[in-house]
Amino acid sequence: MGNNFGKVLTAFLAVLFGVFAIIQFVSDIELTIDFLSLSFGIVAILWTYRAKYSLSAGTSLREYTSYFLWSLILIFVYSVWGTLEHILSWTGYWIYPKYFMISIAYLIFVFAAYKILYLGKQFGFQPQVEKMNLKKKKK
Amino acid sequence: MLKKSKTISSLKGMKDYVALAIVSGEKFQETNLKIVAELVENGIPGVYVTLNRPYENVKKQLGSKKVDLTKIIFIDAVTKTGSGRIEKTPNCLFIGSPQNLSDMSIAMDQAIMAIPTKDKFLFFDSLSTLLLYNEVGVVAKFVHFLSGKMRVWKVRGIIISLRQKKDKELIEELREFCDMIINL
Repeated sequence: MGNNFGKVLTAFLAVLFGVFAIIQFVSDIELTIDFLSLSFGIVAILWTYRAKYSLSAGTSLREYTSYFLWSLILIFVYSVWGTLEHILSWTGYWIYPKYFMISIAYLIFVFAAYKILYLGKQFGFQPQVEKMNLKKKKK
Repeated sequence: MLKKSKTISSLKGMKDYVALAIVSGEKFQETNLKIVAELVENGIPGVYVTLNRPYENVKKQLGSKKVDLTKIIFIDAVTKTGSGRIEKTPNCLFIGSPQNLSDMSIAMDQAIMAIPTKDKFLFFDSLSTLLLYNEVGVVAKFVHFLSGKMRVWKVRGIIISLRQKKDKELIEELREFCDMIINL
């Protein structure tokens, strides 16, 4: 318990210092928000990647995690593209790829949502429990 | 302190526990059916995880003992599904493979949590079959996880293992996770 609290506190302080450093070094507010979003994106991708490889190969949950990971990667690339566009002042055709990326990310989210709907149906045991006619109810 | 017993009746009166039942090969199926039948006869609903015999076979045998099958949620990890993945029928969830431990864990969690009574059981048949398809280290980790979950769920947890030489080492390792070892 104490050990966990220490870890959480250290992580919280690290994030706080990171945010402070970004604000100090990057004067542009829009760019600051971009960098913050990217750092959150990296953490999300790393955690999802670790989760994927902790799960057994060929399982439904791992498949769902894969969809989720691809969506996160595309959103991350979309954010990187947006940041570069801001820094390098891109115009014209350079701005369109990011819209393509976000559309694909949403499309993969649709597949992920369908997968979780399927998982919900497969792992839902409510109809079987109703057949049990149980008298005692949980308090 | 770890209790040792030679009869399943030693579990009577205990509300929630994690018991490792070591059964000899010749009366393996008979003992399993007896344990489940006794629990259901006492009005306790639960989850039967089979890695050893297909659901149809278990259902037939329990049915012949007049066990109320509506009180049991079956999870079958031995019957091969068409797609090799999970498939659901009204009475059983087919996992597709005994190596599919992630789906098996989710299925057990969901099934146990769906039963609204305080008193419920989880019957896991068997550790020996799990060892045929997975590495010893993976099985030890899985059983550690399973016993921990059984305590959180507050169920009557029974893990069955065949009495054989190659399982001895793992059983020794698992002793510390269980409340009771029953030699049947």
